[in-house]
Amino acid sequence: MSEAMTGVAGRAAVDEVPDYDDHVVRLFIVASVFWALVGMGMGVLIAAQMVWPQLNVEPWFTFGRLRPVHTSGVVFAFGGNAVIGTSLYCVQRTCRARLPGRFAAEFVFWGYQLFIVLAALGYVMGVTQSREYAEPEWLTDLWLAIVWLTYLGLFVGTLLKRREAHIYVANWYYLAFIVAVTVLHVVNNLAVPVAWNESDSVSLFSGVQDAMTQWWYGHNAVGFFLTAGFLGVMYYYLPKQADAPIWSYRLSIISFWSLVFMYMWAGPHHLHYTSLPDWVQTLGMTFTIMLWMPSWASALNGFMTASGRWDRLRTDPVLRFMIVAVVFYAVATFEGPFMGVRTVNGLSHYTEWTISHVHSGALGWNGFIVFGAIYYLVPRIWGREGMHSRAALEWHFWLGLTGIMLYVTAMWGAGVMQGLMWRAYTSLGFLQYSFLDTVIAAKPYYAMRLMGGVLYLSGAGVMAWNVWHTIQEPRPVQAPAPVPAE
Amino acid sequence: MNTPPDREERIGDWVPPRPQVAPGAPDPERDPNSPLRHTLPTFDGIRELDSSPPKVWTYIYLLTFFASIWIWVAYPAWPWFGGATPGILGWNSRGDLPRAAEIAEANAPSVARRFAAARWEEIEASPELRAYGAAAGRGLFGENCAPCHGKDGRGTRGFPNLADGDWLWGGEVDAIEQTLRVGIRWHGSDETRTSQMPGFGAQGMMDRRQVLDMVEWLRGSGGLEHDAAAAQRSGPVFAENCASCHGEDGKGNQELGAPNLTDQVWLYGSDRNSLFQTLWSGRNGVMPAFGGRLSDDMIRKLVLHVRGLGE
Amino acid sequence: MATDEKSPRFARLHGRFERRAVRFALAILVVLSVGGIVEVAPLFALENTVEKVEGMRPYTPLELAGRAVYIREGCYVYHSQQIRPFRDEVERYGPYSLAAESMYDHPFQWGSKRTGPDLARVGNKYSDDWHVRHLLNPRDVVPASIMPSYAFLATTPLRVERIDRLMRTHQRVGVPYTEEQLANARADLVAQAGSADDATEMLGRYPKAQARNFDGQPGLTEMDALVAYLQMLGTLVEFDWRRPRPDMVR
Repeated sequence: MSEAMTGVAGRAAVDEVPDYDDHVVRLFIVASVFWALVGMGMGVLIAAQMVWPQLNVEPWFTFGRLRPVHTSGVVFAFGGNAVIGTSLYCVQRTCRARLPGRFAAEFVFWGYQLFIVLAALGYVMGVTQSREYAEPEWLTDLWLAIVWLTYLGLFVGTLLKRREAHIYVANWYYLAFIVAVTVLHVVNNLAVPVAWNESDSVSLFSGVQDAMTQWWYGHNAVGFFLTAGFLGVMYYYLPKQADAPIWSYRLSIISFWSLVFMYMWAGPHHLHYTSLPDWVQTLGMTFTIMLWMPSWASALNGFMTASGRWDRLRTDPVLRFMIVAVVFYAVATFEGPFMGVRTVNGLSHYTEWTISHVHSGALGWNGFIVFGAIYYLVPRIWGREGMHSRAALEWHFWLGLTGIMLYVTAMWGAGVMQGLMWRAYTSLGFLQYSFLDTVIAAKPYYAMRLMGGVLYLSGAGVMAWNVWHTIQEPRPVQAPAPVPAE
Repeated sequence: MNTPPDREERIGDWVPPRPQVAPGAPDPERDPNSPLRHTLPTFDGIRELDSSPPKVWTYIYLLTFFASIWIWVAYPAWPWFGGATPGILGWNSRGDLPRAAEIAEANAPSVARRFAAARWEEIEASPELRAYGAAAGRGLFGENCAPCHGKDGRGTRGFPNLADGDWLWGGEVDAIEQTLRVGIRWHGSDETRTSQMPGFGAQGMMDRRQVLDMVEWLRGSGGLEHDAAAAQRSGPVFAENCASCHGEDGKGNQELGAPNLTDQVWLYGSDRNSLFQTLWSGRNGVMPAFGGRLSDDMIRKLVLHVRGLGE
Repeated sequence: MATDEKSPRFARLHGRFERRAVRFALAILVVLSVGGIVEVAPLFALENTVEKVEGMRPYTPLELAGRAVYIREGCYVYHSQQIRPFRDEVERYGPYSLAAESMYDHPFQWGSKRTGPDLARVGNKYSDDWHVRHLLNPRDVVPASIMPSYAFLATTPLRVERIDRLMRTHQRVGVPYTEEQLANARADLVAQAGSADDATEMLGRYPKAQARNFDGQPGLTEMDALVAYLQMLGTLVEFDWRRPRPDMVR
C-alpha cells in the first residue's frame, strides 16, 4: 500500500511539464510548408517540360538541372524539414525534457535551410556531382555534415536528458534515421575536390564500385530518410491523433531491427542485370524480399493502432490523412519487393514504372503522413483551437488523393507499356518498336501525370493557405491550461 | 526500495512502479477496447500494447527467409575468396544471353532462316523474302537511321530523303548495302565512300560574282525563279568546275555520290542563301558505317526496308 | 519490471537497449553497417569484379571535358549508359556493358531511367553534324523528341585551363594518367579538336581516340567537347557477346 502511494507520488514529481522548445518546431513546420510548394511546384514544372519541351529554358532551367531541384526539394527540403521538426517536438515530449543547448536547435534549422539553398542554387548553375539524390557538391556536403552532426547531438542530448526510463519507439526510428543518414552521407560523398577554391570534385570511387556505393546510398536514402524518419512520424502522431495505444510493442521491435539490418542490403536491386556481378544482385534481391514483412509489420501496427477508431475516418480528415498514408506505405512496400525481384526488374527498370512506384511512396506515404502531422501540430504549437478551415482540410485531402491516383496510374501504365514495347518481338522474330516509338507512345501518359501533379500541388497550396490563416488567427482568450498528465 | 529520483537527475533504470490494483477492480492501465495488456509506461500519453503478430504474418516472414535461402543456394550469392558461391542452377545473367539468342533463332520462322541463307538474287526473286526483309528492317531503321533520316525516311536538311527514288550513291540493293556497310566520308572506315564537294569560293576556285551567277544557274536548272542572264554567264564556269563530277548535263554521277542538279531535290535548301553557302564553303555530309555495328543479316534487312520506303 | 510478465524474453532484453541512448545509437550503427560491408567491400577485393579486357584507356582531355559537361547538365536523369544482357537490348544498342568500360568513370553515369535511349554505345552511331544539330535543337532532326535544347553549348567557349586540375584530380583518385599525359593535357585537348594530322602525338598517347573539328565551327566550345565524349562512348572495347570469355561471366 505504502509502496503504491510512493509510486504514484513519485510519478507526479517527475510529471511536471518542462518548458519545451517549440519555437524551433514552428520554424521547421513553416519551412516544410514553404518547401513543399517549391519542391512540388518544381515537380509540376519538369512534368510540364516533358509534355512541352519548349519550357526548357537553357542553360539554367533545363530538365537535367531542375530535376535534382525537384527531388532534393521534396525529399530533403519538404520531407527533411518536416521530419526534423516533428522529431524535435516528439522527442521532447516523449522524453519529458527540453532540447539541450541554447543555440543548437536554431543552428540546425538555419544551417539546414542554408544547405537547401546552396544545393538548389548549385543545381541550377550546374554545380552537381550527378549522383542521384546526392547531387550537392563537396562544400555543400561538408556543411550538411556539420549541421547533421549537430542535429544528432541535439537529438541524443535530449534522449540523455530524458525523464522517462525508456526511449519511445518513435524515437528509435528517428535515431536510426539520423545515424544512418550520417553514415550514408559521409561514405557516399567521399570525393577529392578539384581545387580548394572550386566547387567541383571527383568522386573517390569509379565504375562498378561507385555504382554499388551510390545505390547503397540511394536505396537507403529511401530506407532511412523516407521510411525510418517517416515511421517515426507515424509512431508518434498517429496514436496521438487517434488517441489510441500502439498496438504491438513486440512487432515494433521485430520490424525496427529487421528494417535497420535488411534495408542496407537491398541497394543492388537498383542495379539488376547491370555489370554489377550477379552475386551482389542476388543478395540485394533476397533482402528486398525479406523486407516485405517487416515493412508490413509497421503498416499493421499503424492500422491496428487506429482500429476501433474507424468511425472517426468520416469526421476526422487529419486521421484520414494518416491512415491513407499507411495504406500507401503498405502498397509501396509490397510493390517494392515485387519490383526488386530480378526478372520483374528486367521489365520495370529504366521505365516510368519506377517513377510510379516512387511517387506512390512519396506522395501517398511521405506526403500524407507529413500533412497529417502538420495539421496535428499547427494548432498545438501556435496555441490555436484548431485549423482555420475544416473544409480546406477536406479539399486538401481529396485533391491530394485524386492527384496521387492520376499520377500513379499514369506512370504505371506508361512504365509497363515502355517495358513491354522495348522487348516486343514480332512473330517474324524482330524488334517491333524503335525507341522513338516508345517516346511517342508515352506522351499522353505524361500529360495525365502532369494533371495529377497539378492536383496534388493545389492540395499543398490549400494547406499553405490554411496554415497561414491558422497562424494569423487571434489566440484563444483563455490559453489552454497545461494538461496534467494522467 | 524504489525511490523516485531527483528532478535534475537522469532516470536511468528507475521505472515508475505500477499502481497496485485491488482484486476484481478494473486495471487502470488496461485498454478497455482490448483484452491485451500494455507493457510500458506511457509516453506523453501514448500507451503501448503488446499484441502478438498475426500467425500469417510470422509464416510469410519465415517463408521469405526460406525462399531467400533457396535463392542463395540456386544462384550466385555470397562473396567468397576469388569469387562468389556459384549457385547450383549454373545461372548467370550474361551466360544466359547466348542461350536465349540461340533459342530465339531456333524458334524463328523458316522465312528468317531462308532469308539469312539466301543470296541477293534469290531474295530479289522471292516476293516473300523481300517482304520479310523490308518488314524486319522497319524496327532497325527506327533505331539506327530514323534519328537522321526521319521516321518515314523523308529526311531533313542535310540528311537525304530516302523515299523519293533519288539516290546519291545508287539505289540498287548492293549499292545501298555498300553505303550502309562503309558509310559516307566516315572516319572509322577505310573503304568508306568518299568524294568532296569543295568550297569553290572559300578555296578561291570561283570569285564571288561567279558563285552568285552559279546560284542562278542552279535555281534555273531546278526549275525555280532565277536571273536567266546570270545563269547564262555560268556556262563556262560550270564546264570547268562542276561538270567533272556532276556531268556535263548536270545530271550527277552516282559513282561519286554527286547529286543530280536538274531535279527538284535540294539536300541543303534551294534558297539563294543556302545555295551560296553550298558553293562557297562546300558540303560534305557524313554517314556512319554500320558494318561493325550491325550484322550482315541486319544490314540486308535495312537495305530492303530503305529501298521500299519510296514505294 | 518494465515489461509485462507475459512479454517474451527478447522484449526484456530490448529494455537493456532502449533505456540507454548511446548504446542504442551504437547498436543501430553496428547493425546497419553489416550489409554495406558485406556487399561493397568485396567489390574492391575480388579480382573478377572488373573484367580484364583490351582497349580500355583513360579519357582524353577533350573527352574528359565533354564528360564534365555531361555531368554538369545532369544527362544521367534522362539517359542510361548501361546495356543489359537482354536480346532486345543488344540488338537495339549493341553488346551489353562491361564493368571494365566504366572503370575510369568518376562518378559512374549508368543512370536509372531511359526517357531517352541508352547512350553506352552511342559513339560512332551518328555523324558529328547530327549530334550538333540535335543538341542545338532536338526537334530539328527528331520532331517527336522531348529533349531540352542545348544551343548554348555551341557558344560557350571551353575553359581549357581547367583541364590540368581536373586530370590531376582524376589521377589522384586512381585513374592511371601518365605524367606525360598530364604535362600535355592542354595541348592534347586543343589538338584533338583540330585535324587528325595535327594530333598524331595526342593519338599516340590515347589509342583509338578520334581527332577532328567535332562541331564543324571555328573555336573550341563545350559543344566540341561534348560531341567528342559522345562519339567515343562504347568504342574502346570490342567483344563478342555470343562467345563471352569465362571471366566476363561472373
